[in-house]
Amino acid sequence: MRRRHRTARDAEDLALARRLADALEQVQRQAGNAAELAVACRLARTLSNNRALAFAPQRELTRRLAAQLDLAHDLAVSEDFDTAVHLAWAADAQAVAALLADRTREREESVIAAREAVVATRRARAELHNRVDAARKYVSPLGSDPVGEARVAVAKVIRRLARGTATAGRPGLVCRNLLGLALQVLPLAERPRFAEEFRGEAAALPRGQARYAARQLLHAWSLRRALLRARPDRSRS
Amino acid sequence: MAPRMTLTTQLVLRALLADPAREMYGLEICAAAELPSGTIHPILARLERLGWLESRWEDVDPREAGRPRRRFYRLSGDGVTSAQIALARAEASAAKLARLRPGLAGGAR
Repeated sequence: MRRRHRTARDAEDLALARRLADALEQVQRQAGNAAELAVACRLARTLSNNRALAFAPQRELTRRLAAQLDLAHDLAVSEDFDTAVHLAWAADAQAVAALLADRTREREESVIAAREAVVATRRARAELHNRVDAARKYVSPLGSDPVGEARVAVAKVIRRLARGTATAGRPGLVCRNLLGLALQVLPLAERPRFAEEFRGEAAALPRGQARYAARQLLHAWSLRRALLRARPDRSRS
Repeated sequence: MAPRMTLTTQLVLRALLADPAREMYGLEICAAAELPSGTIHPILARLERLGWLESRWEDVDPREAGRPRRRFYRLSGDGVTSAQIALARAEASAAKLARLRPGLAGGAR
């Protein structure tokens, strides 16, 4: 019984490690998309709060990863694209190394699985390098500064993403997606209330709705902890 | 029972104490406390659970207003007293620390 439980936990951990690798790969491939950075951010936060990963050094590293990705997302939203990509890239190696080191140390039976994840990550990175090189060759005849031009184009996309489809009284798409992620972290019973409260606040912002939603996502775990410390609720409605 | 009087909690309480009768929604509290959005909701939830804060939904029809309702917060009767006491204690502790370790409390080095 105990063994079965442990095997299930290992499988869960491995699934988490794979999701992390996949998400970070997505960040590297599609770092022009602020929502992708938010997905990785959420994943890193999930990992840092996961019971199975509650080893002190591991938690610290995943927290650092989460902080880096949070910052990367904020920067992407605020158009500082180069720094955002750099941070997202730097976070990748640290996170994968931390996760795999932890698994190899704590559970020997995960070693094979961990090796597979390392190989997959390396392959993904090699593929990324190839794609970047290919992309550079492709765009080089197009202008004197193709990379710079591409960055400007990406910055425009990010700017549009950051604004989402926001209109007065209606949060944009990115904002709604990020708020949806934040709400998933909250206790089930509290979600309807905060869904409306967050939407109400976001609707009051003519600009920066995605940033607002990203910040709610960053602090969702803190809010969850506050809500779970059960005390009599004195709200008036 | 008092919450942990972190700097952000103190800023939120000071913002609410500036006009205890006034109801404010999250973004207004952020602006008054000069804190980024996201940081205040965990604090508001803690204070509400302790009974220091009261909250209610804005009395508007979202369809007519063309936007979702806002959640308004204000200090409860007990909350005003408790907040004043807690802030006074926090300030006294900071002053004591400044005397003992000037560098740590931001006092003269």
